[in-house]
Amino acid sequence: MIGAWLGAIAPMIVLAAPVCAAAAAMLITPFRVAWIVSSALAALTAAAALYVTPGPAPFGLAVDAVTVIALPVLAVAGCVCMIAGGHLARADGEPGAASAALALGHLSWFGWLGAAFASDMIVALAFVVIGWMGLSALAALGAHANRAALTSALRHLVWCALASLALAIGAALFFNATGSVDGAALSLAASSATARTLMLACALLLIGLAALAGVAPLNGWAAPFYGAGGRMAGLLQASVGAFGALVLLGRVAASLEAFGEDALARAFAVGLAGLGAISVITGSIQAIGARDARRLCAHAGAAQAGMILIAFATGGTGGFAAGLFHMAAASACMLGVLGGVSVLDARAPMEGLVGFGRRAPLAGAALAVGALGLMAAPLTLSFLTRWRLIESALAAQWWWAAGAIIIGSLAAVGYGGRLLAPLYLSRGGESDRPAWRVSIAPLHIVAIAAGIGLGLNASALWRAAERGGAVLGMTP
Amino acid sequence: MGVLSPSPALFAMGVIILAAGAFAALVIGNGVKRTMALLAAHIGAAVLVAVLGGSALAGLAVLTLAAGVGATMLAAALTARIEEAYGGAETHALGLIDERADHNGAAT
Amino acid sequence: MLMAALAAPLARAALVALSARIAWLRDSMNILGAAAQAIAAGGLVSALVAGAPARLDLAQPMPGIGISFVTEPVGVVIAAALALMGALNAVHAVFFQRLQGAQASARLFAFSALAAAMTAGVAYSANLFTLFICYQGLILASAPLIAHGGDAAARRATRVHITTLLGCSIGLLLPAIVWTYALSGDVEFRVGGILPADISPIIASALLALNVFGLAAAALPPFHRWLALSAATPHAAFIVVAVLTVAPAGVLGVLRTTLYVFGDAMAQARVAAVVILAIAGGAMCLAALNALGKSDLRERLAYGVISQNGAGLAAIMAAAPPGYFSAILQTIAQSFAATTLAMAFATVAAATGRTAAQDMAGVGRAMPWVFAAMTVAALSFIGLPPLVGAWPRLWVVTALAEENLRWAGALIAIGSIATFAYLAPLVARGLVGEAPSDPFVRPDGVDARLIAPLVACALATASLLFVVDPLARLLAPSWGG
Repeated sequence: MIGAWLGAIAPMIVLAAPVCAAAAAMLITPFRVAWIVSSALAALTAAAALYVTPGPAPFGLAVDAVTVIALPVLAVAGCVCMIAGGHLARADGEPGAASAALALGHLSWFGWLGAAFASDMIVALAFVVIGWMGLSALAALGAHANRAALTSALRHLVWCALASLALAIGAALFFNATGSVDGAALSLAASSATARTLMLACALLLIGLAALAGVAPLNGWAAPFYGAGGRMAGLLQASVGAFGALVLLGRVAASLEAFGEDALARAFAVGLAGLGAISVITGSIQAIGARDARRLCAHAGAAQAGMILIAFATGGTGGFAAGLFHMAAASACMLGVLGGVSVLDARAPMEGLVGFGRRAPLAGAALAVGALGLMAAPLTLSFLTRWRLIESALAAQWWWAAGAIIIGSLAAVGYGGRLLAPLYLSRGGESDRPAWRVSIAPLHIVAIAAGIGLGLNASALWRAAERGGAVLGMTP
Repeated sequence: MGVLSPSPALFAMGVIILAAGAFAALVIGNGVKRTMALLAAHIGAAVLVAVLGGSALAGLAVLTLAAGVGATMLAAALTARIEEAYGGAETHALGLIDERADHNGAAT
Repeated sequence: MLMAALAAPLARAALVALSARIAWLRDSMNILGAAAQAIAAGGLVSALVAGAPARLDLAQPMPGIGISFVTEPVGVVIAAALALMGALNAVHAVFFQRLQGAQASARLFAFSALAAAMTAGVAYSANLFTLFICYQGLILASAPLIAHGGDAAARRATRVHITTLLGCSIGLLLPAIVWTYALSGDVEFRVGGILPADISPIIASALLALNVFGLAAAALPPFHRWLALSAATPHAAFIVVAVLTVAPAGVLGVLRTTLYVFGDAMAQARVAAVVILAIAGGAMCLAALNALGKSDLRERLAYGVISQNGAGLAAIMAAAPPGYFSAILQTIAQSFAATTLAMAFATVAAATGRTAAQDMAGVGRAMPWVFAAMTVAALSFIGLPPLVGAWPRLWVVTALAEENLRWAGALIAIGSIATFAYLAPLVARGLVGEAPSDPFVRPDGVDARLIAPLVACALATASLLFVVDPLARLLAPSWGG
């Protein structure tokens, strides 16, 4: 009875609480109280996300098995980012801008949460615009610590705005071909003469979402955004924004399933996997050469997103489940690495990591777990997800795609090792410990728990991913 | 084309405005011009949406325009701040500067 | 007992690390921990002889894929041999470090223990997934041992070690495991193998190649350089890496995957098996010839281990019961003999400061016990009857002849002759050469506690001969005998 009631109101709480938190951040003074109230609302959002079950949601939104696996990740990752925002917004922004940063963070989070609920492309686009625009503004607020935050925010804005336009045109073409903006309409139109228009629509939608997810080479914004933008913006983009965009990308890629064994659809899927492979290789090479830990994350994120694209392109329940499964792992890795280096200053050169694990044990542990995850070390969640990714590529008999994933994994040993090796090398200096830094602790704990805890038992997560994969893989 | 048959002239106009605006927004260094290019790209996209979807997609066209206005306002604000931080309207710092070489990061 | 065999080295690592600053406690923990592991490993052998296999399920990360350990004859026997040698080496290492006045002993002991734990994990793993986890853990745990010297050569060796072993395990072994899972829906080790017996020959060959080269710890060329470079590390660390953990774990991994994953499907992987056999046989000869040209004793032994591993791999690739038995016996005999040799070289180096082969002349007159032990080990290593090292050669030649691979048998014979060439004159010169006038850099000689484990190792090597028959009976079920 209570469970059913909770299930019914949970979607409403998930969507309403971040908006209320944003309002609270702007309206309440002093900042300390605003942060406590907004953090409480963020925790409420995360808790409610765990109760969301498939079925109708308020405001014409919808919840399916994909939403059910996406929401907890988006909500928990976002929640700890918002709590960490207490320290990061104060440290990066101008005096007095911390409240605005916190509010923008909550708004952006709301956008990406909403995208997971979207029942059609227009609603999804509306939420996505809120999501990325909030991130652009949030990145710019890091200008107090590093003025390059402004240029990186503008670059992010331009790229994301153009990506949104691709989404809008894609949705319009889709409507033009099917008379609907709902992916489910595809089954009626798939066999008709509109196939080429539909393919073009899907291509535009996928390109737009890939750009938003940071897939190389469509991620011209990513390295400066992570490297110089506000730390909170980088964290939120890596663990929430990229995840949200990839969820939508999975839904669009699932549309291709409706075409069955059609040659054009097959070529399209190969193209999507090819884009993924390019992203894996480009991202890996750039990550190996990166001189800044946060820029490294941007490139590593591209490599991870590329692997997910490959899994989606292989299609079927297994492919989509593997993609969704790995998305959770990639999100946890990014949370760990970026959350770890957030304790450093606005800039995070690799040299700054020497002895970091001894100066900041918890942050160092989160960074270490994140780096191990990027390397797909055994006993981490990423190892299990990488296993499924390779399995899905092999099942589709796409040897080259499996090869790209393996090359990405090998390269990850290189760049993950670069993050890991200096951590415990020497003591370094004594660190100052501002009281606010404790607000990042939940983020570190969640990153460690997700990376290692789920590495020991990911059965529940895998089953959820399988259910999501079944929905996507059999989309009519 | 599919369900609807759009006007070719309007369709071509939308494509040209969108493509030109998008290209300019990506490559122009001047912030003000870049902001205008971004707005133009959104207008072109809204025209395309309207052409492709007719009245049924009016919502999407409005959403595209609204997103364009929002992005333009944000870009304009950022441009102003960048000019303030780096000095001069013609600075090529607008999104094209390599911030790794910018050692004056904490100056503003 | 299985839990004890796995936990003892982990506890040893933790206790050594915790007592790093108290030398007597640290050393005691190191010896006691290694002894506890040897006792537990021995207990597992006797339990298996009594017909009581054990199983330990630690976690189930994904449905159908678990972190589990099991006692089966091949793993248990080799793990027990390595644990026994590990215990004797722990005693030797403690007094060797004291004699040398070496720094950072706690780090050396702790990572040795971790590497021993991971090697035990490879031996006891119940499935490919667990084997992979333990194997990767072994690579990471052994890296600090190779880096122990701290100089440029050690750093280079560490870099090559990590890139080669991790690279091969991720790039080759992991895809092989996932592919196996995709084909058979299972990763559990089973007598007779889990791959379908009617698997396509091309896929079977590809999988075998991925498995064998993926387990680069076996040092099969072209992935053997890490072992040759590991000679740059100090003696105590070198013994652990090259003789007691990484190198034997590689052969053990290949052995277990061949027996319990491929099993009957080895018939389908004939093409790859013959190619690998040729590489392994060639490696045995070339590495032995290479060893002949090395004056540094550690380098010579490192090439010797590459050569002996080649013999073991060649025996496995014969894919016949005599070949499997030969490989197991080879691994055990090699671990006993090589540990004795390595400890003897270390003792000579500690006492006389001599590390080059040409400086050994007559040293045996000043250090009779050490050279007596070295002689026994060298004769077994060479494969001279009646010592145990001779029997694997006999079995492997039999297996190869049965499989109509006489050319491979000839390679093994040439390799044995080359082994004789790089070890026998060394020992003979040491024993019969003119005694050097200044044999010791340490006037009071070496501690008897340093020689005792060495002599014990030699005795164990000599007495291995008597367990061949019981071993054959215990191991027969592993290949359905």
